[in-house]
This record gives sequence, C-alpha cells and structure tokens, in this order.
Amino acid sequence: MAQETAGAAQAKQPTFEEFCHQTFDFKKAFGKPEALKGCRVLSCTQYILGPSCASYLAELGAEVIKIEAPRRGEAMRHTTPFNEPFLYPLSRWVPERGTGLGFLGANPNEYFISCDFHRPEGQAIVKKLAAKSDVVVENYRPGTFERWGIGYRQLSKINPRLVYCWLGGFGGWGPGRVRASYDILGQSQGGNFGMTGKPEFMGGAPSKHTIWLADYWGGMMGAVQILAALYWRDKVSGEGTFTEYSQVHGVTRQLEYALPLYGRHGIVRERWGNWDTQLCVHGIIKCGKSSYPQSENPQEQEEGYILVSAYDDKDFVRLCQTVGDGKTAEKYAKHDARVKPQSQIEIYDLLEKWAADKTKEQVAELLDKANINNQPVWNSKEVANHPHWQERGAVQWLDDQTFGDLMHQGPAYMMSATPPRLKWALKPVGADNEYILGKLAGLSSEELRRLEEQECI
Amino acid sequence: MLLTCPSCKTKNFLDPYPFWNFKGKTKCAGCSKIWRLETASGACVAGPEPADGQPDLLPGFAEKPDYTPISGPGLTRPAPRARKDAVCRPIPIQRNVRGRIVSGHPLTKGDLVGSRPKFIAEGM
Repeated sequence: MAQETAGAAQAKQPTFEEFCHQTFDFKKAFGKPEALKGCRVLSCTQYILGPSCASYLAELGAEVIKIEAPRRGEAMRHTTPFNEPFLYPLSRWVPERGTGLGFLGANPNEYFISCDFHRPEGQAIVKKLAAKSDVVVENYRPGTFERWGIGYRQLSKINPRLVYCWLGGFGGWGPGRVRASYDILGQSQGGNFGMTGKPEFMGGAPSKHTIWLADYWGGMMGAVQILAALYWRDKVSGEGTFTEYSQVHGVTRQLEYALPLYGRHGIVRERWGNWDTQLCVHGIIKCGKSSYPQSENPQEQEEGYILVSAYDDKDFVRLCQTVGDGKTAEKYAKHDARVKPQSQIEIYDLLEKWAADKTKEQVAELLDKANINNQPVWNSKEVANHPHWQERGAVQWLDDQTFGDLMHQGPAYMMSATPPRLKWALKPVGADNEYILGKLAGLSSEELRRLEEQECI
Repeated sequence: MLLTCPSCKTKNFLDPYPFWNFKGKTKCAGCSKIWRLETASGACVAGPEPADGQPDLLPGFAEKPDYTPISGPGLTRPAPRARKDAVCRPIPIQRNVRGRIVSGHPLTKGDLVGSRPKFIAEGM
C-alpha cells in the first residue's frame, strides 16, 4: 500500500521541463512581485549604452524616469534603419514625426519626461528629482553634467545616498578621454574588430558587428555596477557611489585570450573568418541554394549558410561519410592534422562543394541524420516565427498602450520569484511630464504650462 | 551636430560621421545658401561664414523653425541604399505584419488624446 502511494506521488511529480515551464512562464509574470520595485532611477541618457543600462533596471521593476530634450527627444529616436519605420507620434508637439525602431529595446517600461539640461530651470528640475531618487544614469561626455551643475559632486551634496552611474567612451581621465564614442568606435579601439572578419587570403577585412554589442553589453555592465552599489549602500555603508564605465575598456574585457596570448608569446591573434583557429570542423559554410529563391528581398535570394561542428575525430569521420569522401577522413583522421590552416582551407572547400546544390535546410537534414551538430544561420524572419522563442517569451507580441501591436524582444533571462517583464515599449517625448514633474518636482499645472511654452520641458 | 542657418533659421542636421572633422562648404536645405565651416571632434571651431560655389557635403536632414521636415535630392544627403526596395523615407502603415492596428503613419494634433493616438486610446 505504502509502495503504491509512493508510486502515485512519483507519477504526479512534474518533469523538469514541466517544472521549468510552470515556474518561468512569462505570461504569469504580472502576478508576481518585482525585484526592484521602489527603486527610482533617473536616466539622463542617449543612444544605446546609457538607455539600455537603465532599461535593464526597468525590466526588473525600478521606476525609471527617462529625461530627454524637449520636443525632439534624444538622438536615438531619429536613428532608424534607413529612416523608414517610424512609431507616431514623436511627441504631442510633433505628431507628424515619429520615433525610429532603433529606439526600441533600450527603453521599455520607462516614464518619459522632457527637460532642457542647459537652462537653470531645467537643472533645478534635475536636482529636485535626484533628491528623491536612488540612482542617476548618464552617458554624456566627461564633465558635461558637472559643467551644468548636475554632476555627481553637486548631486551627492543634495542626496548622499545617490548611486551615480556615468557611462562614457574612454573614462573620465587619461590622455584619450575628450572624445565622443560610438559602439563602432569603442569596438575598433577596444580591439574587437582587429580579430573579427576574414583574413586577407579569404578576400576579407576586419568586420564590424552589425549589432550594437558594445552598447548593450556596456549597459549591462553599468547595471551590475548599480546593483553592487545599491547593495553596498543598503547593507554596508549607507552611502552612495560614483561609478564610471568606459565603453572601450569594456570591449577590451571581451577579448578572451588575445591579450594574454600577446603578453606571453608576442603573438597577435589573427582573424579567421567564419572558421575557428582552435577547432576543425567548427565553422560556418556556404550552401549553394537560397531557401527563398522567389523572394523580392535580395538578402533572402542569397545562398544560405549553416554552422557545422564536427571537430571530434568520430564526428569528423561521420561528416566525411555524409559528404561521401573517405580519403579526407583518412588523411585528416587526427585533430592536430585538421586544425592546421592549410588543412582547414581544404576541408571547408570540400564541404562547400558538397553543399553547392543544397539549401541550408537540406544540409541540416542530412547532418541531423548523421547526428552531427549543426544550425542553419537564421535571419530575423526565421527567428521571429520560431515557436521556441514565442513560447518562451523571448519574442513577444506586445499590445503597447501608445503604439499598438508591436513585436518586441522579451527580457533575456528568467526568475522564479521576481520575473522581469515587459510593460510597454516606449512612450512619446514628454508623455509623463505632468505625472512625474507634478508628483516629484512639485510643479503646478501653471508652472508646467509656462515651462512648456518656453520649451524648457 | 546642428547648423542653424544664420539666414533662414532652418536647422540643418549634420551627420556626425562625415562632419566630425570637417573643413569645407555645406548648403542650407532651407534657403540653399552656401556656408563655409570647420569642425574638430564634432564641435564647430570656425564659421559658418557665407561662401560661393558648390557644397562639399550636404546635411543629412533639415527642418524649418516650425518643425516642417526638409529632405530630398539636392537638399540633403541620400541615405545609403542596401535593400532593393529601400525607399529612404517614412513608409506609412496602419496595420503591422500580422494585420493588427499600429500607429505607423503621420498624425496631427487632433489625432491625439494627450500623447497617444486617438484610434489606439479609444479604438477605431
């Protein structure tokens, strides 16, 4: 009898997959508490580096107040793919213009107010808000906020518990500091582009990342600094912190073994395209046929690409059997022989010749049959429509309160008790002026109207 | 980077990449006057002074003092063409890829409720 009861209990126990699905279901997030509720963040930021930092906190429930220039807002709203896709209105004052989609993803869940930092009245507003905030995030050039009277040294006198996170290009001191940085500049100077892209014999050159990797990674580093500073303030010292993040240093932190390799052996890490200097076969090959030959988009008419990973000796033999080339399997039976540059050129050439009459899906099917690790290189349409992302909330259809039905990335991680969540994608410039400035800066409707007429907010 | 035309007050937005360190002439998209200027590390260090002849580089975008946008051939620099169907100007839409209503076309102040499009705030 006891055994039967135990068996029934065992049967009811959900599998790990069921447990994860129930625990992390993103549709249940709004029934759970938020980790950073009650934490107020001022985001005086522009482009992606600073905004993404504040938005990571907003996903966790912090009350993030984004401050932008009156009327037009920050520059990222006007930086879109070829100036085509806009979300209207830009603001209630400029409804015939819109916000570019490049702004999406770095500003969800935030309150949007406008304020001119250059004017004394605008600076007074920032001081009033900073007095009631836990965190200030800004990414202007070094010393700019201090010149305007709203830098760390001034604001910390008003609010000693303030965590002030400054994200910049090159840091606040040093001979190379007085420049503006972009993601692409940071990655160039930090060393990333020196080792991405194809070597010369492949007809290649250093390649930039199309995504703003240094910005989004830098924002995450800033968020880590802020959470550590809040812990230090609330658990240890009771005092605020001034933090600095240099985009270029952040990129250097991503260089893996390249710097130790140079320091120990004087070897400059080389570019090796879509292959791997340590492993073979472990790279991306070109398939000869397009998966969408009828498409009008030239990018979809292009041939497909697929990642193939078979560096283990046994996997490599199975790969050669699939390709139908026993000689290569014999010649390169050992990994040491395969990984040499000349061997790699020969092996990848062989694979691409084999794939020349196939689409990436056909190659994937054959490699799956042979139990060889592979993944077709997907474009954004393929990612957006894949049920795995949709089911897990990595890609969500958001019913945005201002802009309607939007496809949006969900938070990039899950938490069982206090899940991050997506409330709204963004709002027009100055949409929350009355709510936030009335609540926190004590401005009356007459004062708000006067400041609005003077284009101070 | 902004060049407010001393003559007609049009705001000419200078693309930071080509204008970051620049010495030469540009043309106001509002009144077609030629201005000579010099920039260093993104800041204007000389000019703008009136000049003659052809511009070296056009602004990326411009708007009149009342926020009316100005762009077009001969006035502003064309955006790079990567896609065959790229048109480099706003594409007005009312429905997204799955047929739902979105705020994807220019609005007027009368179309708004506060900061939100009326057809989204109140329904079609």
